[in-house]
Amino acid sequence: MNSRVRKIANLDRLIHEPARLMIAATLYLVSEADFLYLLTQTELTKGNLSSHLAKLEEAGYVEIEKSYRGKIPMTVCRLTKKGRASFKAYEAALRGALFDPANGAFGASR
Amino acid sequence: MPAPILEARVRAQRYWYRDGLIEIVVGIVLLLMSGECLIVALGQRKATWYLPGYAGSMVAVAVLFPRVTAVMRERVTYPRSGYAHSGTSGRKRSIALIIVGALLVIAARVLASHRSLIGWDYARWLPAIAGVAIGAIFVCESRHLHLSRLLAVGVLSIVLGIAVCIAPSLTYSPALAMALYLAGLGCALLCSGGVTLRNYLRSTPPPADLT
Repeated sequence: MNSRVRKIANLDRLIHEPARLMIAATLYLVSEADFLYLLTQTELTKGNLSSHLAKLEEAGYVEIEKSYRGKIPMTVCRLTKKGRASFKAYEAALRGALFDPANGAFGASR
Repeated sequence: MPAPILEARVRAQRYWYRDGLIEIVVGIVLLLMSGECLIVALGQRKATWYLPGYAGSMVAVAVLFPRVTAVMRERVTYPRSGYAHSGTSGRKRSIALIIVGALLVIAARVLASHRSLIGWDYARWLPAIAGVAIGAIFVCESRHLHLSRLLAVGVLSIVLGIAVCIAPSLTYSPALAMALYLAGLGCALLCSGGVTLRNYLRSTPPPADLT
């Protein structure tokens, strides 16, 4: 293992989980989105999405606000500053670990 | 930025056009503007009802339409495919559009007052200029978002803008040519938005329970 690949061990495990990575990546692109939008974008089940959002909220990565728009209940989620910074750091770390500048391509060097 | 993130960003931006409501609203605005040009072409600009009517329609465009769009989205789009707000706030976008619109009106007024100095009757070619400019915006947006219907509207805008300028029967009345161009583009956007909305409503039924 070279030093580049060893960086993978330091990845943020909270974001690294595929379902939470999908949620974070979706929220990273918008300023805020509701539960239904996340559900349609990620295609997770309601229970799954709920539990992963709760974990992200617990870590302070996501802010969840329950409100009404007219008579329709809405659960609006947004990435916090900490969550946005963590996702950016995760993306940079993964890029740094997998992108081989010598070849100009993704993949570990031999 | 990695390609999947870029692709996801484009998908998030495309979400704004998913229900076709924005095209319907812009189409109605263009039809109103076309009506205003038609009134000018018919020589009714000095009528007593012109100014209040014009001011009223402008207020409706600036104040009423964003609210109507928001209410329609709350009833149609959000219960079906969810709510997402893009990075740029709607207010910032509206202010930018108002500034660009005001600058265009000022530029047109300045050009009109110096028509003899520039020695070119730009008013006659205004539909072509508008057609190419608006068409270019639609073509760029369609390439960026991979939405072919916007490409069709963009091409139609360019063709229509040039056609109404070179059509021999319309060259004597620039206002009528502009009214025809705006009406054509407005109808095209209404059709595009209507078909998109119909397909969206058919393909995305409202969920049984809302969260």
